[in-house]
Amino acid sequence: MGSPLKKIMLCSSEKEIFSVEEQVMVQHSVIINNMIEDGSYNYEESKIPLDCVDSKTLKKVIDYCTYHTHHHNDNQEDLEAWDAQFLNVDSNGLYDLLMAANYLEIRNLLDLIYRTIKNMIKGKKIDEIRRILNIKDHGFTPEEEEQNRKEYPHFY
Amino acid sequence: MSHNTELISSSAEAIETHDALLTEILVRLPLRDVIAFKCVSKRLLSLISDPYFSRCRTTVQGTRFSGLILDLDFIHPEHRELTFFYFNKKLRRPCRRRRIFCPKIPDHYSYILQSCNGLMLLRRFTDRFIYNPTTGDKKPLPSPFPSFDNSHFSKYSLAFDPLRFLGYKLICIFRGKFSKRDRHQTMVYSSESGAWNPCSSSFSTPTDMDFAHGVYFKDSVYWIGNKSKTTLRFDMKEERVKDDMPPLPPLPPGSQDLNVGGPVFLALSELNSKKAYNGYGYILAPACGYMNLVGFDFGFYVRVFRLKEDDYSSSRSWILMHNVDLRRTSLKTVFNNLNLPNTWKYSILHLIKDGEDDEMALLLLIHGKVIALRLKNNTTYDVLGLKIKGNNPRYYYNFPGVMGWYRAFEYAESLACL
Repeated sequence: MGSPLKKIMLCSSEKEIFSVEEQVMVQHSVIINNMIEDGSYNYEESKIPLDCVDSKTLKKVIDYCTYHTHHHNDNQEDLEAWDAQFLNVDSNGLYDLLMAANYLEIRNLLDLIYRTIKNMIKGKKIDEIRRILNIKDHGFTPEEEEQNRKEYPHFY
Repeated sequence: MSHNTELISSSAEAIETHDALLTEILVRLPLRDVIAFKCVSKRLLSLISDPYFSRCRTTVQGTRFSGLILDLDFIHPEHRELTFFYFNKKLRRPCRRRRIFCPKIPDHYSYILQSCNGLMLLRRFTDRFIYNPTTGDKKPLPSPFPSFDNSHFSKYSLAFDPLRFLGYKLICIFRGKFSKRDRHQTMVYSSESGAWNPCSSSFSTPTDMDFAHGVYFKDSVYWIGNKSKTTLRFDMKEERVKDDMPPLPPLPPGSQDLNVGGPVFLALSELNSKKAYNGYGYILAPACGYMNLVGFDFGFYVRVFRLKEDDYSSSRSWILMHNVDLRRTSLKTVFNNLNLPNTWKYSILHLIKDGEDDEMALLLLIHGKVIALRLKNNTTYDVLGLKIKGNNPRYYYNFPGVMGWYRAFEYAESLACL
C-alpha cells in the first residue's frame, strides 16, 4: 500500500503525462503494484511508459480507478449505475479499454468489460457477432459454412 | 515490465487475435451462444474445442447439475422416450418449444450406465461409450484388455471432475475368470495419457460388492456391498483401492439385508416375491457437496445419512440426518388418493440440493408424477408429470423402492472433449 499523498506519473502513447495518486493505481493495477513493491519505480524521475494506451483511454482508466478507490463503500446499485455510465462508449472505445485493462492487469475493470462484451454478443446472430468482433475472414470453406447453416439455421 | 512499443491501431482486431481475452469473454456465455460461436470462425471453433476452454468455463461458471434425465421405460427400446427436466424451475419444460437446450442420447438402443459432472458412460448392446450429452460427442470405451482376451469379469466407473483434474478417468475393476471370486485387480485409464495403467496389487472384497454402480465424489470412486455393509473407495490421487470407510449403518430393527444391485436385481420374476419387499438397502447419493447415504426399506421408511470426515484424525462416520416415514409427510394425501391396496408403488429417484442452504429434497416417482419431498420440513411440491403412454401404463407401477434411482441420471452442462 502506497501512502495516499504520493503521486506517480503515467505516460500515454502520445507522451502525455498523467499524475495520479499512487494508492489509486496500486490498489487496482497488479502491474503497477508490483513495480512499486519491487522498488523499480523512482519517484523523482520515473514515469511509467504505457506505449500501447492512448491518452483518451488512459484518462478513462484513471477515472475508473480513482472513482472505485474513493467510492468503494457506496452501495452496489450506485456503483453499478456509475459503471454502466462509464462504459457507455462506442465499441472501439470499449476494446481500447479492454486492452489497457489487460495490459495494466486491472482485474475488476477487466471483469466489468468481459461482462459488458458478453452481453453485447449474447443471443446474437452469427453475422452480427462477426461484425461486432470485426471478423473479416471466418476461415470456413463454403461447404463447411453451408453445413453449419444447415445444422444450426436459427443462429443465422 | 516489458515495453510494448507497437501501437495498436485497432483494438478490435487485437482482441480477435488475442486468445486469452477472447476465452475470458466466451467462457461467460450461456451454452446456446457457445455453440453458435463455433460457427463464427475457425479460430473460435478451435478455441472453444480446446480442453482449456471447458476447464476455464467450469471455473468461471461452476459445474451446475442442471437437470435430471429419466430413462424409465427400458424394457421397450422401440417406444423409449427419455424425460428430462431442469432443476431450475424457470427452465422447466417444455424445452423444445422454448428453444432451451434439451440433452438426448444417441439412439434408442443406447442406455446410460453412469453420469458424472457432464459426461456419461453408455452401453449399446455389448459396446460401451463415453458420451457428452451437451456436445453429442461419443467415443468407444477403450478396452484395457487385448481384444482376443475376453476371459475377464470387469466393471467400469467413470470419473470426471474438471475442477480437480484434467480430462476424465475410467476405473476398471476386474478379475480373471478362473481366479477366486473375491480377488480383484484395478486398472486406470486417463484421457490425458490415452492409456490404461495397472494399479498396485490385487485386493480381496466381500462378494456382494456392487462394482457396476460406482459413484464418484471428490477424488474417489465409491462402491458399496449392501449385505456385507462394506464401502470401498478408489483413491484417485493414490491410485489404489482403500478400505478405510466406516461400515454402513446397522439396519433398523426388523429389517433384512437386501442386496440392491440395480435394475437387474428387480427382475420381473422377483417383483412380486415377498422377499423383495421385506429387505433393506442403501444407496450412495452425493448432494450439496457431501457424500450421503440413502437407506430405505420397501415400505415407507427412508433414512438419509451424511458422511462426516474428520480432517485431524482422518476418521469417517455416517451421521443420521433425516429419518422419514413417508406416510407422515405431505405425501400422505398422495398415497390416500391413489386408492390402491399396494401403496408401496412409488420409487425414490434422486437426492438433490433444495434451496439456498444445504437443504436437500428427495425426488420420488409416484403414479406417473415426479414429486420433491423437502427433508427439512417434510413438505412436497410437484416437479412434473410424465407423459402417459396409452397402451403401456404398467411402467408407472413397476418401480417399487429405488428402481427408479438406477434410471435417473444427473445432467450437467459440459463442453469437455472426449
